Amino acid sequence: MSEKAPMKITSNKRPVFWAWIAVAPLLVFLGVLFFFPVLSLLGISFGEDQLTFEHYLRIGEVPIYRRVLLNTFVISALVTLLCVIVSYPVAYLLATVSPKVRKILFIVVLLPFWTSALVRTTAWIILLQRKGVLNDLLTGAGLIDEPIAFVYNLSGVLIGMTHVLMPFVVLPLFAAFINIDRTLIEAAEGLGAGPYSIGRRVIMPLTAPGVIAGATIVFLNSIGYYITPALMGGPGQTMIAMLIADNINRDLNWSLAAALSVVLLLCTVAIFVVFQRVFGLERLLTGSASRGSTAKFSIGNNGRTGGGWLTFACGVAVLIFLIAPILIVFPMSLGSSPFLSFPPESYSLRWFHNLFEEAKWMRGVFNSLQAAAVAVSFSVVLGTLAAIGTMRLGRRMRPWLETVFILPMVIPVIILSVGLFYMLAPLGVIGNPATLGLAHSVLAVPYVFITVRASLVGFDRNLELAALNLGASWPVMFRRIMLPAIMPGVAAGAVFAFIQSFDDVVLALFLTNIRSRTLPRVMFEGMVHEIDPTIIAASAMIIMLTLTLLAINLILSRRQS
Amino acid sequence: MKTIKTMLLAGAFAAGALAAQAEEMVFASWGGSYQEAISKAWLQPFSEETGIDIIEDTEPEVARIKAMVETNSLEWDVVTGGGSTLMRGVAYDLFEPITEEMVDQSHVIEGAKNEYGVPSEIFSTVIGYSKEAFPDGGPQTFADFWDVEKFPGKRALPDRAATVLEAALLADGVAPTDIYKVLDTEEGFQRALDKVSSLREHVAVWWSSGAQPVQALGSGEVVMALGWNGRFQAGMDEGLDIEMSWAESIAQVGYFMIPRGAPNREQAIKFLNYMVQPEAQSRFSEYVAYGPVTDKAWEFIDDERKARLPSTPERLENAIFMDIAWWADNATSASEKYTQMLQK
Amino acid sequence: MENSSSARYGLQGRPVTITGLNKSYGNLRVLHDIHLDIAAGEFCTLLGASGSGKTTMLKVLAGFEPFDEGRLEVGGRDISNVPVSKRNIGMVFQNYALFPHMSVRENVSFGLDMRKVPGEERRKRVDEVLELVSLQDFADRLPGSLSGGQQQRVALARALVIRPDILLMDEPLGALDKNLRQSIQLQLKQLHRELGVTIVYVTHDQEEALHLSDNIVIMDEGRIKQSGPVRELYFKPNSSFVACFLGECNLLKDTNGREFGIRPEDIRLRAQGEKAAHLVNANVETVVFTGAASKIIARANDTVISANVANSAAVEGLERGAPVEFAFDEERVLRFGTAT
Repeated sequence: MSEKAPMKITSNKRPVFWAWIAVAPLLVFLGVLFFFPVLSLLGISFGEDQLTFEHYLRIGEVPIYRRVLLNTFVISALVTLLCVIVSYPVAYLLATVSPKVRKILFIVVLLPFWTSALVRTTAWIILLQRKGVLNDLLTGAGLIDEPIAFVYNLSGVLIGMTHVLMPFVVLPLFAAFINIDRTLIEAAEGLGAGPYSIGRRVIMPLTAPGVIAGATIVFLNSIGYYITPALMGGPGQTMIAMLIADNINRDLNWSLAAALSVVLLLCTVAIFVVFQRVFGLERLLTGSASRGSTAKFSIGNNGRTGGGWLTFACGVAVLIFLIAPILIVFPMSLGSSPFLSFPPESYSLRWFHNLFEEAKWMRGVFNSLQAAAVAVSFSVVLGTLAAIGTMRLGRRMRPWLETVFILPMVIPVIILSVGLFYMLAPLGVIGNPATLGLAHSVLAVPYVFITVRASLVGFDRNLELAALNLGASWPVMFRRIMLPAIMPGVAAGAVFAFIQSFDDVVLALFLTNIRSRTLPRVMFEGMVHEIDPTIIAASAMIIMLTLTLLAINLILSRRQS
Repeated sequence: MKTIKTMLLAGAFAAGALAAQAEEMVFASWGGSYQEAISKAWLQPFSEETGIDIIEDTEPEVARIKAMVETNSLEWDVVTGGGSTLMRGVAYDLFEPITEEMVDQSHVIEGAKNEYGVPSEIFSTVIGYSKEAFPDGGPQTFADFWDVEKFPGKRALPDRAATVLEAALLADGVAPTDIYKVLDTEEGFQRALDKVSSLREHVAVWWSSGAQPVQALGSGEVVMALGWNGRFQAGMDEGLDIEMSWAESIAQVGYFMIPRGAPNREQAIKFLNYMVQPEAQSRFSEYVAYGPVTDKAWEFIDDERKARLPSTPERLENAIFMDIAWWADNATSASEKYTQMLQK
Repeated sequence: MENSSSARYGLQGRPVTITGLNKSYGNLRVLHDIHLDIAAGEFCTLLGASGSGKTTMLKVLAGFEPFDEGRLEVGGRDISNVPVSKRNIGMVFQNYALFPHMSVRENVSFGLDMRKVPGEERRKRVDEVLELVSLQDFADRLPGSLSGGQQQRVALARALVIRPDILLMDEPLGALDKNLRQSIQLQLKQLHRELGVTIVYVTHDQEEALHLSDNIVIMDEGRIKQSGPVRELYFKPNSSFVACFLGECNLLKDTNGREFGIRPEDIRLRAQGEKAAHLVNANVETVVFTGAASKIIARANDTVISANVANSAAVEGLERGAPVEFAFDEERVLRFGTAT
């Protein structure tokens, strides 16, 4: 059993210097492409010409703003809670099946990311509406008499958002699960713990760091949501990002939008401080790192227990929930009517025809991939370096830096978009996919930072010291020892970064032009008036391509082994 | 915004300084079948006639127009938008005034004219209803829409105040000419809100995108909806079992604007002149069910197509034009109160 | 002392009976028809090389592994179908398996929490057992901050506090250094004597087995080769395997070609004119000085013989290749009855 070396470095000053060198690139990057443009814009919350507090007073006086802020935080908290609850059975499932099945299940978990938000919500509405697939099934089976209102209310918002955001919890939770030493479970069993006690007292605390990383991402992400609540919720679920976007886009009331953003930001930070005080996140993050476990988590040799089977069943149910809207995308993409129904009344290849006919779709895919490539490489390099550097800095600096690096998740994207436009337009770099990719890196870097930081907590520093002692230079040590150890975190961060870039509409609306439109932007066009089923065909194509690539990968890896 | 501008523009160079070799013009609208119709009815024939190349862009958000104008990086020569976009832009001085010398609009319907934009089409907010739910005739007036005894079933309404408040007051018996006078008073505004509020429990869908009311009607989620005539028409054309009522409607106007500092201003003016001509105006409705902004266009339109369009003299008789000036003045507070009312 | 202590901890050793136990992984048979009786309060060690099935047997007993056939009884109760959490068996894992997120006290208290022991009594019992393993000052520390030996004692305390019917230990000293191991062996032995708990102990270290056990079960390839009291196994091994596994043993053949064993300490250099039952001529390979004695390794034909003899000038003077004559007595000869 190895003892962990304390993370704090006391006597030697050089490591602190190198830690700052690692942190500096991200600080500079965010300073230029995030803080400067965003603060410039937020500054106008105090008036465009002279100093005034009227916008803040208005937010205080007009009740709707308090109400919508409350909506936002309540919905975000509920979504976070739901994501955590439903992710446990899925993570358990992933951790206990064979590697081959696991690969397939991972695809199922990540598939929702590969469809645009518009397609997902449309599919959900068709499944859940009063005369939708689910209600038809339930009434047909005689389980209910009256259709249940699943959408256009709170449940619609919760379903839609949980569906999209869940993978952010599943991935880190899975990583935490497989790091649990199985003998711990056996020890608990031997001491008389049943499945419930094992879950609550052993598995939950040991997976807490993973869950907290995931829940943080989900909560901060939820705060900025507006497409899903607008389409799947009712007016009672108006969220703050909708008001901010409206004030920017429709009403041109930028001062009010900026003031709302500032208030949102302050509330979020306040919630975090309270959360940290109450739950002691820091202790949880550092107190329960896995240490070189001898037996990876798996089901015991007795097979699954009753509780195990129950969890298994829940996991399968959640997976069905995850892919249900994806599955109906295929038949829907073959429907002939532009008014979507399921099952379609007649079939045609009309939308696929559109997809290949019009150059904008394929160009959109190409532009999206270019931007994503830039976004992934920048955010992964900068985020990983910063995460490593941050871990080496003193207890006092760390929380500040972490807050700074996570902030891009909290600021509404529309604020960043407008701020960046003002900064970049005079430089003549608008409309370049690389510019968009850099902007996406700003959005993506917090994800990389969080996931890599979580995986670094479990990294035994003795390994690093051992490698250096054996004569490895730091870069060699990093490549051969540290990187493999934190790879799951880096990979998860890269996936999240890709998705952030691949799904973004708002930045694309401001930073691309007709030649550099990305796929989500092409999909978004015409949305005010109609849903062009071509976007469903596009989603179906993307899903099929993804599946094909993964199938090839599976076949090749099987041949190799 | 000045602070940002001075901060960010330090050392900036003027964009768009490169003069085009061939004549060209950049047009930006909202994509989808709407932009396709514009392209077929006006952009392509204009381009053929004049030899001016037209580049089409999309999503001319007024926020982006503002940002482009203020950073001197304007890429667009003609942008399109509804009344609220127009008025908002005017408030920030984003659009060029269109004088009689630039574009002759003498033949345009009075209610549609505006100093800063050339009207391109008229569309209406009307009642759409399911024929399946009401085989013996559906709701005709806004009063019918509010009458849940006579016409039971769930409804769909916009999640924003514009047109809903007008419809509510019409349903409450206010004379069409008095609508904005009533809305201007605090009691009158509250009256409209209360009227909407009274219908709340019968509203299943508060829509945010124009596609939603049609989708909801088609799927049976609701039996009637307040929505745009062009969308209902598209649904009917695709065989959805729905119908529109023209007994009352709220007419809105689409506008084409020239942002300040447009790089190809001359070509833009040429195009606007072309688009507003009666013959060109008549062509638009071949592709979408939106009506011409001039009565002179009707002579080029047959009766069958006429039946689909909102701006015939008879229909405008029963319609009120949305007062975009009123909405420009009251948008923020109206939307605050409307959204608040919906929360309860 | 013995009685008062075991009464204080409420421990009562229970007998274990294993009957006809069989287990296979697919085609691989890992346990062959195991029959074993362990008396109440006995310290029983399962000894074998890795892969001999000793750990599997422990896990079957604990309930972590299912088995194909057979019957397990603890204190007369059939536990074959009792789930792990209801077996009331204490277990000390090789890596201790301490919950890293719980303090020492929380770790020890866990089993009592599961048994819904009331707060007052729970506290008392945890304090007692921590005192027993001398860890009362470390109650609020996290396991990660303890030394290996301390962690080992936490694991022991955690297993004991539930008053288990039997205590299973899976190579619990394997990760400790030699000095620590020896001192803990002593403590363990004393603890066992005081508490009177039945212990089933798994190790591959024969010396450890000899030091600790009342009875030893020697296993090989999933079978019990021999089981019994330590001395019986040492002095009356039923097979050459057992003889060589437990202590050192020279294997020789008698005039009838039958194999027999003789331990090095029972071989002496033949004194001038001595008459002994067995005499062997050999040539010295090497002489190793081991402190209290010397070990002569010599070759007789194709057999290597090792003999522990008293130090003397004669022994010291033996050179490689020098002829020696060994002698040993008939009553020291190990005869392997019917075994292989």
